[in-house]
Amino acid sequence: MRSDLSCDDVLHALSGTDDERVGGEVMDEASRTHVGQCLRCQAEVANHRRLRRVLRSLADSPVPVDPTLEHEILLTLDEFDGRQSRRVPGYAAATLGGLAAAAGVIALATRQRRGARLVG
Amino acid sequence: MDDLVQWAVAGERDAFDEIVRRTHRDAYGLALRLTSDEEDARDVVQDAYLRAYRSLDRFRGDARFSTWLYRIVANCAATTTGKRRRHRHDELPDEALMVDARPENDPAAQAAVGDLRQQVDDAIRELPPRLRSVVVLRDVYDLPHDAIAEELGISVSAAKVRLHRARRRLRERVFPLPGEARHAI
Repeated sequence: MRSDLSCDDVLHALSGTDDERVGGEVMDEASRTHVGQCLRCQAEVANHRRLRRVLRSLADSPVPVDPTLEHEILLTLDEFDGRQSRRVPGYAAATLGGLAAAAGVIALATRQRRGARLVG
Repeated sequence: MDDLVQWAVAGERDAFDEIVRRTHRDAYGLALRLTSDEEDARDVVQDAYLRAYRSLDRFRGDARFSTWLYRIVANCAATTTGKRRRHRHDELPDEALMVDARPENDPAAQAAVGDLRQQVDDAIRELPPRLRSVVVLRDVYDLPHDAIAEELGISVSAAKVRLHRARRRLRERVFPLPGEARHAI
C-alpha cells in the first residue's frame, strides 16, 4: 500500500532537507514508505544524494588562480598600511631567478670555450 | 594556521601576509563561484582581505578563520553582484550525462565524476545570482543558514527558500527526469 504522499511532496521535501545523506533516517515515516515503493522517487533520492556529494566536493576542487592575485592583495594591504611597497611578486622572482641562472650558464660556457681556445 | 591567526590578530603584518598566501586560492574559488566572473572575483577577494585585515580585532576565534573569511567574501560578493546586476544566460552543451553510480562497474567512472563535477559547476554558474549564492555557501562551503542570511542581508527563511529552489533547479539541470526538458536555467 502506498502512502498518501505524492511524488511531488517527496521531491519537494528532498530539496529542502538539510542533510546530504538525503533520505533514510532524515526522512519521515510517510516519505520513507512512499520512497520504498516508488521507483521514480528512489531514483530521485539517488540523484539528490549524488548532487549533494558533488556540491560538497567542489570546495576542494581547485580553480585556476592568476599568479599575480596574491601580489595584488598584498599591495592593497601595503597601501592601506601606508607602506612603501618594494615587493617582488613570487612569479617575477622566479622569472628573474631563471634568467639569472641562464645568464650564469652562458657566462660559464663562454669562459670555458675561451679557455679551450687559448690552450689550443 | 591557528598560530598565524593569533599573531595576525596581535598585529603581526607578516603573519597576515602568510595567511593570504595560504588562503587566497580558496577565497578566490568561492568568489569566482559567487560572481561567475574572473575580474569581479579578483576585486571581491582583494576587498575581502582588506576588510578582514581591518577587522581582525573582531575575529573572536569561536569560528574557524576560514569560515569567518568566507563570510566576508560572501558579503563582498553580494555587494558586487548587487551593483552589477548581471545575469548571464549562456547555453549549456545539450548532451545527456549518464553516470554509473557504481564506479567499480564503469571503467570510465573516474573521468565521469570529473565531468559531473564540471557539469554541476557549470549549472551553478547558470543560476541567477540570488539562488547561486545560497547554494554555494550552504552546500559547497557549508556555512550555516543564519550566517548566509546575515551576509546576504536576507531572512533565514528566505535563505532556506532560495536554497530549496536552487537545489531543485540544479537537480533538474544535471539529472533531468524523463519528460523534464533540459533547458538553460
